Amino acid sequence: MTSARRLSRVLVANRGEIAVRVIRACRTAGLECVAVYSDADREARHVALADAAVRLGPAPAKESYLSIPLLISAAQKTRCDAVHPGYGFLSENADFARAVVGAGLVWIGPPAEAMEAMGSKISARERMRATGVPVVPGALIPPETSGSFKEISSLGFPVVVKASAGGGGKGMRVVGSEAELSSAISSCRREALSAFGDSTVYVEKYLDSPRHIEVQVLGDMHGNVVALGERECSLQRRHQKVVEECPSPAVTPELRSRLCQAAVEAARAVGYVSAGTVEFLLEPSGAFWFLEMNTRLQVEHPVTEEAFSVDLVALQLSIAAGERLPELPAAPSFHAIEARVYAEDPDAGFLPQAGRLLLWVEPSGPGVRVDSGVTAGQAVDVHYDPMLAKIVGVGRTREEARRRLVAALRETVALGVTTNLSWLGRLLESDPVVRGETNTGLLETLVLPALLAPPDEVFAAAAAVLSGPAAAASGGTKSFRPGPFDAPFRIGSGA
Amino acid sequence: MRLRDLRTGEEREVAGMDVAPGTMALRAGDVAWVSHRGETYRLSAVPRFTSRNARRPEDTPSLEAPMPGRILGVRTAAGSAVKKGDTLVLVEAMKMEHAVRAPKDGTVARVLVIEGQMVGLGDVLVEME
Repeated sequence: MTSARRLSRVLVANRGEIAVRVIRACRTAGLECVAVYSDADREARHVALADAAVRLGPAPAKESYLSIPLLISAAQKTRCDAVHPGYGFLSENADFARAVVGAGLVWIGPPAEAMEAMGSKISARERMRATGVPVVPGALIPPETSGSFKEISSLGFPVVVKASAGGGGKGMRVVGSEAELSSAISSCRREALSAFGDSTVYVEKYLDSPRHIEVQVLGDMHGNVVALGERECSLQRRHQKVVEECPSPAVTPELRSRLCQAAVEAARAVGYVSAGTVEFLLEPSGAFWFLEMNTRLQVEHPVTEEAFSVDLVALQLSIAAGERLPELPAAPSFHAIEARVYAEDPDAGFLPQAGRLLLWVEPSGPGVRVDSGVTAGQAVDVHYDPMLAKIVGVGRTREEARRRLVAALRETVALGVTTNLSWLGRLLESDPVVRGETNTGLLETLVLPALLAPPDEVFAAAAAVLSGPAAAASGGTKSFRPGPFDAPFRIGSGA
Repeated sequence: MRLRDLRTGEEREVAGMDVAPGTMALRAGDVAWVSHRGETYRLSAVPRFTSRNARRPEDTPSLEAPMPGRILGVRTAAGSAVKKGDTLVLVEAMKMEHAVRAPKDGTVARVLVIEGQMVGLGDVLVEME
């Protein structure tokens, strides 16, 4: 397990902002990189940034980003010697990791065995229990759910139904009573099968208002495992994280060292190598429970990078090349808060939005980081995750980081596709978030200030463009294909 | 010109037409997108006269796709009696599942989609009597 191997060209087996992020790390490491794309992503940013790009197939992920044979052949055709899976898609698929290694390529991630041990949430729970890491009380659900739910009922309601192969809250359902259990289990199975190809589900006791705290770990091929502090990810909507920060306002240095120790033990128990995340639920009492381990880079990794001044993707690359972990900081020196910008409509039940992003202006300035995979003029497609970008505010204090993030969100312009930008801004200005008093149930009850009707200038500007020449027939994805400036577009000049 | 703010529903008769300094505006189809002082707005024109055939949602409760996506399942059929809140159609997009539910007690007049079909935003899925 100690074979050092020089890497020279990396296949980035993903799309969107994470593909862009990995390409940047490859550049820093002096490696060439090859992008892959589906027909929906021909104009995407990651395709333009790579040294070369390979078409995988049509837009549906199953025929493109989720096809192991297509990805392996793309890597071989372009003479790559390593594959980085990003997050989502095949990043936690042990078969893909094995196929990559089987093709003589380096897998930039954990060993397939560690992925399997943690990939089934059910087996991960058992493994952690044996290691002495505390796990949330739970029960298995047999494939035939016609029988009784005695074991589940004995946990006490509410409970959470989860996909064993899951991640990102996909398929997850909170169930308040036995009567709702059966339909929750079948819809969780359906979503799990569609998202992960595995319909195994299980049930956990639902903890009341815990915080979601996760620990970043890194392991090398020489048996070293370290933890890089925690991230607070309690602000979740429908179990999808929307705002994350590092460090957590609720974690004292003493608690941090216990969390980090538990995370390192969890990672060691499965022989973990590369970057991974051990998720815990933290109760107000200070008790914490193992939730699951994500055997990949997380969406929210930038907050750890900014707080600790490290480059996690660069570390993944050097670990994959057989290098030893360098000396890493024991505590964060900055505070970082990330907001996920989604193409969704907060005023219409947060429904995902598609269309053409006619204008997209990113924020910048001291303590502002933007990880995005979109450009103005690009179509936002229904086939993929609706996240457009991650915006991070960094500061010496939490308040400085928060203010920078709020200002950055207001500076961001997205026209043509409805986003949650305004909602994120109001969320970050709300009392509980300002005070850092968050929990995983907060977004279900928090009432944000209502939207104000537009000022006169907005009505006048709208009248000006609406009375101008008509743009193409619709703003939808079907026939509307002009670049951003072909549509009637006006920047105020006072004229 | 009478305009409606699509987020708040606020309507206003607008006389002036001017994109003020610091404001950005563009048009996509029938919608004006305006960025002004850190906020994004969507507005559209309100038609002067409502045509006789114009659909009034209260009268003809046709259920439309809330988002573009794939029909995961149809849980009703023409002629079925349904109760308010019953799931009629399941739509999946961006790996999320959404239930389209009956807005009132009544009878299903027509089902216009089948399982597996791709639909666009606003496509009619089910019509109720």
